Amino acid sequence: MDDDQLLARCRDGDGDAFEALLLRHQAAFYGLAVRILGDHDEAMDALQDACVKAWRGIANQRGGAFRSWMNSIVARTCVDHIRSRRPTTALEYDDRVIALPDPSPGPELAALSRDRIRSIETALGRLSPEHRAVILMRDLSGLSYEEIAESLSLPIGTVRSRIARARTGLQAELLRQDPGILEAYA
Amino acid sequence: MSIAHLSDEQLSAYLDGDADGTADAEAHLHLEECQACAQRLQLLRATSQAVASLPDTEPPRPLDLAFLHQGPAPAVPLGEARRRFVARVIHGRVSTWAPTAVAAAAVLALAITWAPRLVPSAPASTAGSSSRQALRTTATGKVSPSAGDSSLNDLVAPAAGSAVAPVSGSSVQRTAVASDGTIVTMLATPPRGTTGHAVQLLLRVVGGPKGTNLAPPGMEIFAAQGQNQLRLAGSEGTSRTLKPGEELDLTVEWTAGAMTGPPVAGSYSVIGRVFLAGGKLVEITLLYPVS
Repeated sequence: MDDDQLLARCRDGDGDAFEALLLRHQAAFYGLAVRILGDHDEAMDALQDACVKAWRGIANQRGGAFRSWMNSIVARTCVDHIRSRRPTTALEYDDRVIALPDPSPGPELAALSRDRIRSIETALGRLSPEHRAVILMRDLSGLSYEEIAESLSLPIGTVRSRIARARTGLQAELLRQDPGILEAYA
Repeated sequence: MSIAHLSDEQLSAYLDGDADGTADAEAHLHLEECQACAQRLQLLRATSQAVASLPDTEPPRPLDLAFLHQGPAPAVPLGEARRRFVARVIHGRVSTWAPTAVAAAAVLALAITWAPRLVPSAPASTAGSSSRQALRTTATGKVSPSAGDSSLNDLVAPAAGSAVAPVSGSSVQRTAVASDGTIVTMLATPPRGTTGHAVQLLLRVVGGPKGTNLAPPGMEIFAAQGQNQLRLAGSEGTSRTLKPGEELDLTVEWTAGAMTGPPVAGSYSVIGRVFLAGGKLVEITLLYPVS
């Protein structure tokens, strides 16, 4: 059963169909969340929140691809998490904690060196959360400018300028780390 | 040259096909003539493709999709002097927070077999025995072994930003991975406590790739304030061997703020300890404000 068929069932309240869609695409959703937030635990929390929001709103889903629609919700939820961070009152952890390593590599990883991926993720982590969110929504999830603008409640001009700044900022950071890194993608 | 050099925004919009017809045509003409802008476009395209090349990432644990089939469990306020303890062990599947008949039965069993006790706060190395070792990261996120520990240098460094816990959502949690791949998670819900209300605490161990051997006293959950620690639950899984991926949960409900008397607001810690064979201790602490 393809995504559209499952989505139609979801609109009729079929929880199993929604679960099937989530399981099919969860690696993409989690990959987006963890790279926006930079923290595995918070990404898991945001993805969980996004799933609940999506299920509550799925009857009003206006059509289009499930994956894009859900990516928008995941990204918006992640941005909400970032906005809700209150560093002065945030919980702090004891120092006897080891964070999760990156999950097992998927088949795409075979084509890329782990070092290169780490460099890209490190560079992304040095962008502001707002810039990181829009460049990931655009270049990783393939959302359109209009979809990003709607998801983040931003004017499209702001989205356009943020994407441009995010790309140039990321480019500068990547070249600072490794002057030859972008040759692999030219 | 048709126009002055293109701005980053113009180049980015051109790359995405977002420029309108006239702007797109002008940019196209310019790029045919201006090698500098063409090179900048090439770099922007490579940057975009670098991001697009990042692989999908499987979540570290299954999503909790119980909400698809049941309503959320209501919060259960507890009386000030009342403490209720629930221990639950689930093997080989994902647990949920919803109370179960098994959990209810466990309440009775636990009430008979053990009671909470106050123990003095002690360094991790003395919480179990003098040979215990704690997995430790520094405040900056760099892994370093505890004093006298020379066997933990193969631990994976924490991800960037992992020192700050999420404060939104329905819970707060932390996960640690031991050098043998054993995964330990401590979770508290709600993420902040209200004096006298129930806080659900979960300590979960997932067996590593080659299985995980627990050592006495197994798994323990504590609440702590200052120098006092209140042992809420344990000892679960003592001397148990977990198969790869097998889960062992210890769950307890704590009345927020309750330590030695009526619950009071303040800064508390909830602590999960898992003792592994070979004299290793995985300890996770969440600072837990109660208002």
